[in-house]
Amino acid sequence: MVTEVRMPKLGLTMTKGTIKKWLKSEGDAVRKGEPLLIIETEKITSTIEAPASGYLIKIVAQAGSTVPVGNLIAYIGEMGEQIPSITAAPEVVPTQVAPAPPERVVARPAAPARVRATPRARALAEKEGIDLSQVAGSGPGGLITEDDVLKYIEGIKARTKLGLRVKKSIPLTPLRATIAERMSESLRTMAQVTIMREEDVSKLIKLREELQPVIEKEVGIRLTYTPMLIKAVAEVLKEHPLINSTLEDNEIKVIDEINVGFAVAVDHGLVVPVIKNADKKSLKDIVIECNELARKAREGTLSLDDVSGGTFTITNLGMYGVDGFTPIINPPQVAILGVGRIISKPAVVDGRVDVRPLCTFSLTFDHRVIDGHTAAQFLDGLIKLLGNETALREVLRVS
Amino acid sequence: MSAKECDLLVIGGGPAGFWAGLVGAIKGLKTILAEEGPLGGTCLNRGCVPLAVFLNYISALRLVKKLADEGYGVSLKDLTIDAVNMFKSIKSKVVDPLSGSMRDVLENLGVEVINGRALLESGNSARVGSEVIKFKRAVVATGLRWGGINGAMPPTEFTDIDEVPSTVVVIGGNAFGLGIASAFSLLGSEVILVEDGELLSGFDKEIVDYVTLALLERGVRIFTNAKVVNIINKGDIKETHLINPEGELRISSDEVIDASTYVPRNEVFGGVSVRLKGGYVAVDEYLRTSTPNIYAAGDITGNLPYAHVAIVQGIIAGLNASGGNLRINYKAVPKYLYAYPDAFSAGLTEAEAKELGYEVAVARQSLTSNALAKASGSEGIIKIVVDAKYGGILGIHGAGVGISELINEAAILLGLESTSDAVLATFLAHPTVGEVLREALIQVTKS
Repeated sequence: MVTEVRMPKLGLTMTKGTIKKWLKSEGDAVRKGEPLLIIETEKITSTIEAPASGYLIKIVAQAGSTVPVGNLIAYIGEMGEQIPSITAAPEVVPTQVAPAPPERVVARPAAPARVRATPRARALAEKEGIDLSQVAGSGPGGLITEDDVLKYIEGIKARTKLGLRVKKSIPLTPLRATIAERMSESLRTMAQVTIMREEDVSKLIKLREELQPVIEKEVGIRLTYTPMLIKAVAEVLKEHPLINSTLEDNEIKVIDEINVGFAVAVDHGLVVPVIKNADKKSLKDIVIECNELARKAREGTLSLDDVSGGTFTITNLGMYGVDGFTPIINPPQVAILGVGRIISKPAVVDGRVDVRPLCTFSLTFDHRVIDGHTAAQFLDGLIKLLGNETALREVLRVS
Repeated sequence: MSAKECDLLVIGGGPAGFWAGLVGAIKGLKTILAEEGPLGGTCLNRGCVPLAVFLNYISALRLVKKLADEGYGVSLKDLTIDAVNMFKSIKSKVVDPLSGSMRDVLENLGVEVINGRALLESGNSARVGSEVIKFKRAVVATGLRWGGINGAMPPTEFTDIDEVPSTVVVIGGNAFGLGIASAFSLLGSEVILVEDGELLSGFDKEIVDYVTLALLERGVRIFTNAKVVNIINKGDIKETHLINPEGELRISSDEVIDASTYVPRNEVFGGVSVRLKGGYVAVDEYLRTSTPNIYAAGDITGNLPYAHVAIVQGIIAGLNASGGNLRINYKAVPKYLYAYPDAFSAGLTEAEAKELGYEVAVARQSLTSNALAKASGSEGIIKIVVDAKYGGILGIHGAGVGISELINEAAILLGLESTSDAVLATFLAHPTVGEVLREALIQVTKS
């Protein structure tokens, strides 16, 4: 069956739309819901999805033409299927100004002239979806060469799709591309909620001052808050198994290992090395491992093993002056703890205002797996531990 | 004495000058062409043409001999080649008539051909002998002169030899040097080829390897990365002293031919100062020198010293001097070896394409299974470098006896930026040698 594709009405005031670009060529297979073309109205540029699956058997309105809402622009059907004879020619409003690329204004002939281009130029244009009638030819007699198409593509890249000037284009590095994909996958697939608490961390500070010389003496590494928090979080996770779980095939799988990842900023990206079985390791071992993993992260020598298997992640933006934020869960984990800066602030202690070192903890959790109270209990458990000097000292045993 | 006046003065009647003059006359300019020697330049008179004719005749004779030797029902008694006589005949029966007909072509178009050495006196006047010529525009195409080492013979004199040397040292692993080396090798000389870099610079490596191997199999001794220090005459023997990475070497031979060094004939500019680049006359992409009404074309511009480069430059310079506005594009200049075997490299080599970041697919095809190659005695390989992403043909390379028949297909396919699929959809005739392109490209088709 042939399905007609018509110019959609995207807003109350829309009366016509300009076909900016067909994302499929005649003869291409299309799936229902797949992006089919880009249209432009006075207000927006929008991608239109295919209304049916099959083949794009005929494009009635070419790129560049402006078509009233509701008018026929293409047919989708089976290969070889007959297109109903078009009784009334589609009412196509000739575009006044061609969507020419910046600084390459090409005079458009009234009737589309046959485009003269070399086979290499045509092959490139076809693969890159370039309309050759928009490209100025520099070859003999105006023949469009491969170079001309390449220059045209460069020209397009000099502007964003909405026509904004681009200062510089940075290709996504493989690391950046992975981050982009994982982060959007995370937000697309999970129901993420962030809760925050600001708490007094004077006990943590005190313990750090106390343990720092011991650690330094034993392993020659300066003690930071990261290994201490990893150890504390691992301890609290033991009591809150749902936070240390994953959702797989409609089952919540509570994981029997506690592997805590910590985010490390590297050039143009972020990596998350993992301390495996953090609950079973001593503070000293975690300090050594953190130091080693952070070095490998900076040198770009982390192995796949170093960054896999995490069950929970800590991300610390305190050094950048951040308080609370909404970290994004590192899938397939179900929660992540964001740590803010430690800052001295007035706080009420025993009914009196005092200056205390406060830190904001931001816990993002996947609401599909964890409910608010479960998450709040975990965060509360962590804060209670950080506030209990005896218990904390016990957890943060050096070896 | 009154001066002659013209719209276009062409200085030099080699490939570049001939075509510039021809184009000027066709475009209706009053054109004068000054040439001190016969028309046709080095290429026709003392270079590629007599060499190619000679090699072609030898190839034909070898085909006949093969038919006799391999029992094709051909009997042949006593096939001897008198090379000295053959060179003389080529000169008198092929070269001189062709040079004469070039003059006829120009004169029939109304070009005044003046015999003599021209010297520019200013931006609009030149002197040829006692004659002063006032011009509006000029195309300078005086080419190169030999600048070889003392004691050696210029390769351009190979047709003038009195006897075939039993041993000959050829300096220069370029197209002309290899052509001369193969010619003497075919005549039975022991040939020693010396090159201070690598053979056939700029050709695809597989092509260079094929040619090198073929020459070695013919018994040519090859020294690469070898620099000639001097040549000492010892009576009838010449001793070539060379240094290569292994050490020093002295080679005795009857003759030494130096095809490695040429210098531009810039003295023609006399009273006009033009910008030079690396010793050659600098021209822009319209072939204009730094003096706007004076164009230059051919070897004097320091481009690849092939006649086909000179010819295209001559045409474009001639057209632009006639009011045109054409730019030259050297992207698809084929490098051409007319030797035995011959070879060409057009467009990007495999290594160049990779260097430029192309995802490269390579198609190779031998002429062994090509019917017409068998008929014509052609053999060899063709190698096509294709952009794997879009199917664009980036380079076409060939080596083998008779393979140069394909050089123009290669030049056109590259010049017009063809793709593998476009060639496969083209009706390349059968049986032809050229259909080897289809046999190669089917291996890398995108469809």
